[in-house]
Amino acid sequence: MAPAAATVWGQGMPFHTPTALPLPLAESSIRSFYEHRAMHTLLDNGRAVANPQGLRVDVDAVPLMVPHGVTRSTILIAGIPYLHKTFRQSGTVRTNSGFGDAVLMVRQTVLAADFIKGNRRMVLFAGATLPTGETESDSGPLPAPLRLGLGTVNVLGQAAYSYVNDRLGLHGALGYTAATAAKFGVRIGDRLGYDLAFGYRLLPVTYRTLHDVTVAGYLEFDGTVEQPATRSGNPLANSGGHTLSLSPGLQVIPVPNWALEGSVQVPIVRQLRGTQLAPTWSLSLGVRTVLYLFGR
Amino acid sequence: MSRRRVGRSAVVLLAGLAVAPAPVRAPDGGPRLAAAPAGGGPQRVTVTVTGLSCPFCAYGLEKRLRRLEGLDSLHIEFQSGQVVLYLRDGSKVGDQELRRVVQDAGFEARKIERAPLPPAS
Repeated sequence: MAPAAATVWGQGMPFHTPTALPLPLAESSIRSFYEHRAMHTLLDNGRAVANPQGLRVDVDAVPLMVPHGVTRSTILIAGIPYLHKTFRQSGTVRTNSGFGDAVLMVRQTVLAADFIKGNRRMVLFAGATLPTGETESDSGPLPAPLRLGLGTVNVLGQAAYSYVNDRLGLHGALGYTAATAAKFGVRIGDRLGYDLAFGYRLLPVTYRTLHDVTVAGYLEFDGTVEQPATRSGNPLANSGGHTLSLSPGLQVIPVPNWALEGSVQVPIVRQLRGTQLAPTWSLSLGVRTVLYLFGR
Repeated sequence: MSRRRVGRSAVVLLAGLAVAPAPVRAPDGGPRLAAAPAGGGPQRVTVTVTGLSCPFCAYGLEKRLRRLEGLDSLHIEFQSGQVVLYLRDGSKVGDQELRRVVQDAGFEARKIERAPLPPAS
């Protein structure tokens, strides 16, 4: 139930969708946000069913992402979330808090065909999530809803494309994550993530100066197709499926190197295999800044 | 004036025309001005940059340009993609350095135009 790396670690101006926008050489950016993710809906093969045990999972996450430009076209990205999970079942409430799985990625620009007032770029990501999140206690494996990580190294690859023309922006990304091993006898299913974001600059209509306050709205579609988990090669019944969320968001840039942003995710497709708790809604509020510390 | 002096003057004139920088029109469409090479008097340098689509992306370019020696002021115009720099007398900022700074910020300098300014009185 850990958030997919491709969607939690979204980079760039839309909240969840990775972008191909530039970061200066030898400069670092910091991004962090608070996200509450509610999973209160019990589905049976995609249809809502009664939830007599009152199963609910709530995740509060605060990720920290630090990209750094190492060459004009290459960025290294490191990140880790702090998680607080709450699991309710039959009136019992259990919680677990701590750092989740860390992520390390390289982003390489493979296309840069910019024009006046606009960008046309494509980047490739490659990296891995590391099993730094707790998965067991002194008495044995934690229940899956309370695990802070996946317990294995997961490799990931992603491509992102950005087209920005004055007030309009279009960003798309396609990523794949695969587990490299099983944990507690279960191998997490491979995951395909896809994102599409439309952005529109609400203010200003035209820039007078670089320091004009910018307000932009975004509408994102963030989807995940996950293969079932397997035990000894046999797929587990209540795992895997396809989810797609609609994510409207707003971003304010009060000064050129700070952005304040927020987004709500509402699931519009929840085709999950078997009986599973499904995402109900999520809310994210965050900031990002570029630190000009090391540039020549 | 003797023929020799006229001939000598003509040679000097022709030599001067050959080495003088080609006159160009000022970026704002003003009267033709002699292009000023780096290291000359005060100048207005206009750099056309592609990819300037938002302040968050362009701020890095402004920060790097502000570190240039001899810079008096600069202004980034999003609508035209132009960065206008005012260089002080004696500034040695050349086109190559400008292109490097723009590229280090993640963008591309498509065109660089220079126009001399009258020296401060």
